[in-house]
Amino acid sequence: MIGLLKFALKNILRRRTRTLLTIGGISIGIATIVTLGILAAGIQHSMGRVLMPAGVDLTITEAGVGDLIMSRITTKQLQKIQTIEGVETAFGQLVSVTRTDISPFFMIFGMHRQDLKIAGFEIVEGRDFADGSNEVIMGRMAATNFNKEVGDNIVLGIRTHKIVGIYESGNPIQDGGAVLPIDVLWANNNEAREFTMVLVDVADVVDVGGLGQKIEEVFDGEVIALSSIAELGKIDQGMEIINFAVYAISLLAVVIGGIGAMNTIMMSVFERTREIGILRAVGWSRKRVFAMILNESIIIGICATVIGVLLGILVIAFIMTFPTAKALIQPVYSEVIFVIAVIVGILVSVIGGTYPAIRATKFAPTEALRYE
Amino acid sequence: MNDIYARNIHKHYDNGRIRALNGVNLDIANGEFVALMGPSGCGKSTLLHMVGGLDKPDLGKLVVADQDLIKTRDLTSFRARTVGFVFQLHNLLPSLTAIENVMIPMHEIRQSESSRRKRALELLDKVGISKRVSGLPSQLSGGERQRVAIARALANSPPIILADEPTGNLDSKNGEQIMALLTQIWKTDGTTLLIITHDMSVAQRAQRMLYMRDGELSNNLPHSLCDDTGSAISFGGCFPGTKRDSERDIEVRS
Repeated sequence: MIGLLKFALKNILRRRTRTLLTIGGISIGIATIVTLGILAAGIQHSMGRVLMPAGVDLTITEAGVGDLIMSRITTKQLQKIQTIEGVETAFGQLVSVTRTDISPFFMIFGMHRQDLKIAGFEIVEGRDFADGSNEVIMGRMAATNFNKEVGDNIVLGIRTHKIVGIYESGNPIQDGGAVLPIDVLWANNNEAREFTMVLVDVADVVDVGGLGQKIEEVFDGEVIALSSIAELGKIDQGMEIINFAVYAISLLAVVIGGIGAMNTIMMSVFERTREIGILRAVGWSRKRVFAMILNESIIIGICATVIGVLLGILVIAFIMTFPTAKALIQPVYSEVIFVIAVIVGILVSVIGGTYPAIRATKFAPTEALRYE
Repeated sequence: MNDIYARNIHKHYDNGRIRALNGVNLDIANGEFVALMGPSGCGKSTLLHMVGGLDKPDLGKLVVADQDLIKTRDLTSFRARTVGFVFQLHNLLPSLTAIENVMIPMHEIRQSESSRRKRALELLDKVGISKRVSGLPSQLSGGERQRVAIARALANSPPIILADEPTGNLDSKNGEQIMALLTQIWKTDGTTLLIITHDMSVAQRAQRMLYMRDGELSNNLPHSLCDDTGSAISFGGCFPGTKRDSERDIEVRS
């Protein structure tokens, strides 16, 4: 027995070029969703790891800033945080972006030497820098990408610094940048001697969430205390914007793909008016005709989803061959992205197939049989 | 008992400007073989479509195989189980093989896949093309395509076969073979067979011949189709039981 699916497959293969072009159009939409989704999740994850290294329980940033890099916590505020009950260790970190002789967009982190370890920077080659010196330590990925090693010089902004050590943190944003003494970074970039954020290690018996709330109250809401990476959106609207862009592009993909699929199926339905009339004449119900047309659309959607997901993964692999991308992003192949891609693929095919399927059921058998 | 019972059937198109059927009355008994003749555009196919549940009359009473087709809202099941269509242009689905085309009407009948395939193979064997089951319509000759169409019409063992010029697109040899096949099926299966034709040799195989003109039905042949004795003229043969019409006085069967 020829099943409905097999019949639908035979039908869409009758116009192979048209079907392939439609699948291509939808799969580009799906690939865009997958690529952006994976990159956004990767950036989010990396940013989260910068904010909350493994040994840190709370991260304090300035409230009301649009982007993390614009956050400023004063030395006075840091000192006050250090005195709050339940705070075991609290230290500041200044994050900045500078132009270098090797990259126009290079992340630099300023902190005191003794805080390197708790902030997640593990020296794997050479040694720590000395506070107040022009020494820097460089991330493994940055060193590899830009072909630098211990003993080499690097220009950060307008000053030349000496690379004394290579570190690994497991985070591409950090590993793709460099760390230098905070007093040197202050002298270069921030005369007010401020931090981007304060990282807090909380005493074991203390409720982390409760302490975060207490810190926010102490500063009358001037700061935000984050206790998990998931709360990143609270302080970095950039992430929200990226997420919004992913959803907006998904919606566009649904609309454009849906129209493409609808056009293909509609043309196919009109071309087969007589055949649909024959099916109705030999006893096919409207429901069965509807199912046949919808199946054709769903097959196109499934093919486009599979190809789109694979294409998206390939695009990510290609993007990650660029050192700058490698230094900023660690792709996160989140299940959510693939679920969204599949849902979009199905939605596109259902939306694209429903109207032509309804039209097909409206053909009067006698009229359809007369159709040439 | 009548398999097909029609009274005062009217069908108009284009807001009544085209009167395809004009008060047609028709009785066809169970297992009867009737040929319907008439000029092109006289309403033969429209009547066949009404009887086959493809369309509904605007007015009148139409009962086929004990089913009132005017009162029945959805005729899908009727078409699947009660009638089998054979068209002039075979109307096979081009992307499907011969056996798949025969299996198409069986979709609406609950049967296992293997029994459907078995049934389709039996039917293709019955119509004499068991060796071409995997051929696409484009790979079959005109006669073979029409045989597949006949097998498809028989798929759900309908009590009524409706054939709209089944030999109209075939050469005389293939036409003869197709008619011999349909006649044999009518005889062996006991189906009711209503056939539309322009060909007197085809019509002569029927038990009864009806003539249609301007949307009206008569069991009398027009003068041009009869010899001096009033019998139908065709290839030297006579069709018994038909009468010559007078020029304007068509005796409509009531």
